[in-house]
Amino acid sequence: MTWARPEWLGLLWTLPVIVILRLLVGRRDRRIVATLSLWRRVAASLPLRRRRRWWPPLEVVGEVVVAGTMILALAGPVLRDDSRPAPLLVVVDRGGSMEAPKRRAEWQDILNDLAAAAMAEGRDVSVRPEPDALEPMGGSRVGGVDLARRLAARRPRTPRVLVTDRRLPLALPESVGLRGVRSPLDNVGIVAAWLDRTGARSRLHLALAASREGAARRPHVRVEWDGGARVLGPLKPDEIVRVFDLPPGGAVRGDIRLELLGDGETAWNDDFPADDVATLSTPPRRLRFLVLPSEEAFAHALEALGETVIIGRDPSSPESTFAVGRRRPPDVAGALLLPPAQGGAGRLGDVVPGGAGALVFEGEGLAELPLAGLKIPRAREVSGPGLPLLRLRGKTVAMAFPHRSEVVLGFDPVAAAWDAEPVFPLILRAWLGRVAGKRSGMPLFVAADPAATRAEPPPWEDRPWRVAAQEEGALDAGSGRPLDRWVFAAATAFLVVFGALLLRSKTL
Amino acid sequence: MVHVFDEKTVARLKTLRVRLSALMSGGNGEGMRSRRAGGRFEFRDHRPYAAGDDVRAVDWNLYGRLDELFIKRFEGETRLDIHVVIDTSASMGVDGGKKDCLARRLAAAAAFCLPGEGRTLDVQVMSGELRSVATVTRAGPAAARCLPVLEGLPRPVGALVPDALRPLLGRGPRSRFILVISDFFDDPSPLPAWAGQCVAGNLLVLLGLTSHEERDPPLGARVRLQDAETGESLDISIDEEMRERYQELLADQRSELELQAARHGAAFVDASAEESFEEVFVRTLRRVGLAR
Repeated sequence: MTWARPEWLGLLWTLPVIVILRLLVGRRDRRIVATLSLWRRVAASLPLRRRRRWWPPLEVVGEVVVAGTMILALAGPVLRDDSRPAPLLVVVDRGGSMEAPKRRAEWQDILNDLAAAAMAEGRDVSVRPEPDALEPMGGSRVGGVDLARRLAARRPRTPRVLVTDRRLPLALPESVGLRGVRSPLDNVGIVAAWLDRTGARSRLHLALAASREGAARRPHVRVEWDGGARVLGPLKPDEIVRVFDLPPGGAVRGDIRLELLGDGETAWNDDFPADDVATLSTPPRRLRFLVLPSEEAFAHALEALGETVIIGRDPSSPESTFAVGRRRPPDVAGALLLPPAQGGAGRLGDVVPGGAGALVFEGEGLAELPLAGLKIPRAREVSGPGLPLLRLRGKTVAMAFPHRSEVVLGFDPVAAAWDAEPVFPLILRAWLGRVAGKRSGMPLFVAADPAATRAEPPPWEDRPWRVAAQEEGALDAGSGRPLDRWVFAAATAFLVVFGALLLRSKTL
Repeated sequence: MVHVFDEKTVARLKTLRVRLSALMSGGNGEGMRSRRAGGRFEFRDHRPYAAGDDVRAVDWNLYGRLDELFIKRFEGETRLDIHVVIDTSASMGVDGGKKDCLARRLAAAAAFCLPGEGRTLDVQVMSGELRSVATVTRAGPAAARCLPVLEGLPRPVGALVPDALRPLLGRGPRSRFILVISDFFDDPSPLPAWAGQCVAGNLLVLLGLTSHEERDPPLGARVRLQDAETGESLDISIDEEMRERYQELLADQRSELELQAARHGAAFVDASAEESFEEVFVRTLRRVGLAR
């Protein structure tokens, strides 16, 4: 027996309270009579059950039974046959790229293979979608890795497999298996988008991706937004950034649409059209950035972080720093200081010869970022307590490390033009989360409408799912036999029975 | 606290005396005379036997000759003592003391209506031993002096002692009319012993009071009944069936009391504590032939 919603079991502590209350308030009606002799003769002339039709403790027992069964029903009891192997829980990543036809076919085959294998072992199969993969950056819900960890913690007896096309930055718990979806994805899409506003001028930054197996030609695309359109190309196979000047007073929110151009044999296919649309919107005021005027471009790039960021300025600050904080000024805990520290926060070392390159970011969601081509002139080694956040690949030279509520860098991100890097928002987001105590997932792309890729609901939503397997028969989704309906029915029956007895006794 | 004798009640007592004087003058007034046989009694006449008459007064010789029942009537020369005994045991105080209140008012009614013409009335309380609390020799306004005494009687406590009534029931210098006001819920009932102890010539009238709650107890799922006198308790659920059974037993008990009383020449009158004292008093007198 397991519980689908074990948090309801916490209400069981109310049962002793019911008993205590009943003992305190459920006393007998005391009557003084002239004589007991007649009543004794009456009682002696009737069977015992008639003398005490409603045994007082039975009333308490009835209330406890009804309340207890209700609570147990709310907790969702699930009956398991312990003689059978534990059911297999399959968590499917519902990231947008998983909806691409090739990958969709692949992971459905994977599901069938898993189901067939589970059937052969006599296991039930429960398939659970992971809906957070399409969340834009800054989504508060947990990602697939966190979900897998959570499932591992709550249901340790259940073997589980995560099916995803992500390159997970961290190893999964040992109890969680991983089946990768690695079909080549021919795709042209928007990786990130953000606005750069300087005075009356607005610049739209786009990070585009173009990938195709064995492509000889590079594609051209047409980009439209509310206020303009432009043909770009040929696009490089990996991410690039295009910057567009927007007319003064142009829209700062709306959809950005990308259209693949060209035809013929060399024409590109877009297996994943969901990322051809991105939505710009003014983010709510939650985090506060303080930047100096000379670093506006860098600061505006932070807008790409999405919904949780606003930008503020502190012209009175004499130092060449900018900071990130949550709701409070950066001079208190929760701030993020990025340029080379001027003392106090960590220690700056020597200049790294030849400039920095091939960096490796440490931490969740950053280890696999493509930073091979990143150059950092005049980078200096930094040191301090704790593990570094950034180091040179193959070396122990630390380029950044957290210090209290700050992140200390060994280089100037403005001079290194980090704001032009597509991975910049991811890095900042991760570090923000680090100093602000906020975890972050690893979005596939920025600001795409999650609903756009969910027009076709997966087959397991809202109904039992049956996996077509190689062998005969099929398996219902679910890891056991839910008993909550039966327990609810029992609770209702108890309620009716005890209620009827109670009413009858009260209306004697 | 129940005010037993308010102005309205006193006025009702006076009115009752006037009403009863008419009723009693037209009744067989021999009841208020000595019932004792002996040299000091003179035969007056016969009258036809009526239901409820004491069979000891039947003239069996005349019956043998005429084959009809006649009652012998005598002219008493001795004076009659009237004793009103109030049960002040704790059982009389249950259900708000309605029985106790009615008992005091009935004693007052007797004091207002019965003394005089050689008849003295003694009010006694019976809880433990028998104790005289007031003596009234003249009816009417003079009897009002006993009202404060009756008003000031302590509230019912303790239990009834069955032998307490024995001195009153035996032979005395004069005949006695003994009116005992109680609920007669004692178990075992002292009534047979009293009736047996009552010598010929004395008239024993037992007035049994019951409250509405005792005749028609309310239902209850979880009831703890506690005896007012013994303190014993009984946990019980009173449903319709159990109440009907109780009422049957109560009716049987009252019938048995009446039968036992009649068997020993006494009279048992069943009355409700919710009735007016005038109604109960007149009915009692009529029951023993003292009023029309």
